[in-house]
Amino acid sequence: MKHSGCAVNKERHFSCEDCNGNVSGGFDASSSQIVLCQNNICNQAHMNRVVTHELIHAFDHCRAHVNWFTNVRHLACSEVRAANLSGECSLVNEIFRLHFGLKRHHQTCVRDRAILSILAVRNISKEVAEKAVDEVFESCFNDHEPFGRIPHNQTYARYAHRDFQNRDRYYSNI
Amino acid sequence: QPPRPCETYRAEWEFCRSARHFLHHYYVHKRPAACEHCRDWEERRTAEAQRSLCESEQARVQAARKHTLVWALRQSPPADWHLPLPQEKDK
Repeated sequence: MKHSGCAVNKERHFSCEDCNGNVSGGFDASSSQIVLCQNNICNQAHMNRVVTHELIHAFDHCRAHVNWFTNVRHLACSEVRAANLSGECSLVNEIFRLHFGLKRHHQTCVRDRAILSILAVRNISKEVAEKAVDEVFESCFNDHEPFGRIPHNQTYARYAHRDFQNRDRYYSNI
Repeated sequence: QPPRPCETYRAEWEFCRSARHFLHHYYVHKRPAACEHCRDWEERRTAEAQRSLCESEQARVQAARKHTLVWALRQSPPADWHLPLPQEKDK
């Protein structure tokens, strides 16, 4: 975030609030603030996933002209990326949700959770949400910025961070 | 010098061959990962190995960039990112 010009200050850019329903968090683009739903986040692992998910939205807001409120394809793209890169579609988490699958199941989970996230924040039909996600899926699922890979666990995240620290050497020597 | 330190390639290669990575790669891509490129540089360190490694890395970068972005990238971050929250302005 800092490298992209959006250094995060936890007092300014995070807010812990009670939320309606079972929403875990959100990114408010109008105030550049991440909201964490303190009444719905149940443990540290869940907290880690929610923070990562919302920071991906914040990162997209920082690096691109995302029309959050007027372009459902933009919203869909950021939700695909957040579901893909936050760990919420890991094999273990899907098993806990009683969703069993192995071959390319990650993609199924990302698609389904992106649609759910859109429906939680926009008053649109499921068909419109599905269409938007399907139209942008190929591009947005394969956009792994800023990680360069899908961080399935701490090991992948550690390698991604090492690559980020090494980026100047990397791009000057390929 | 190589794009990444040799120790990085060694660690990535060993990780690539691990059962855990096989499972994650299969979970996403439905096929095993290709791990051989990293090893050439470490073992041979010839000009050919360097060229092969750079081509491999360039292909990796090209593959990551081949999809058209859904949105336009910014030239600078949002102007209001660091501004105080509206309610703080009233204090």
